Amino acid sequence: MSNFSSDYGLPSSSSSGSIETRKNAVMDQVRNELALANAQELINKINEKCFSKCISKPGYRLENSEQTCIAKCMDRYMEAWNIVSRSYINRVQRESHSQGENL
Amino acid sequence: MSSLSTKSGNVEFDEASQKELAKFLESENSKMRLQQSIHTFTDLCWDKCVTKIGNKIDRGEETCLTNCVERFLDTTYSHHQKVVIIYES
Repeated sequence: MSNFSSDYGLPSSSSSGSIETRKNAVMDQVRNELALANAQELINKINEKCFSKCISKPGYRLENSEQTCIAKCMDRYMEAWNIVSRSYINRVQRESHSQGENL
Repeated sequence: MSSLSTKSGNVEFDEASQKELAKFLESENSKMRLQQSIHTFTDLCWDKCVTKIGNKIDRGEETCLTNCVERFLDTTYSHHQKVVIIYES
């Protein structure tokens, strides 16, 4: 097995810290990795969606109008993400609530 | 080094911390799965609901996105029900 602390970028000096300190370091690391993975996924989707929406005929360079479209599209996609997120969480909460009533 | 140290010697946690970490990972994992679903729904519903790129998501698009998520989950649920019925018969 490889070295956990070097694989996950934890400072090796953490092995000498208190359990509490090291535990928090691991948690922070996990949170950061997941936030990064989430952001990467979002950026990939935005790239894919906005390229196909804004660049219909790829020219010799990115036109100003295309750049404006991409910037707007990015904002709209994140807006859509938030709306979807709200709807989904509402639904999950509604369903877990009604399930509680049935029990 | 205490007797709790693992092979690598870098990760040593007492039982309470191990439990806490396991719980933490479980909750982060379900958060991640939730976010992954939101990515999938946004991908799907964006194509259906957002046709033009304006300065804001308008009312119509917003309603469409909300309905899209709801109907997608209805569809999933009804498929699930059918499969359960098939398995039970």
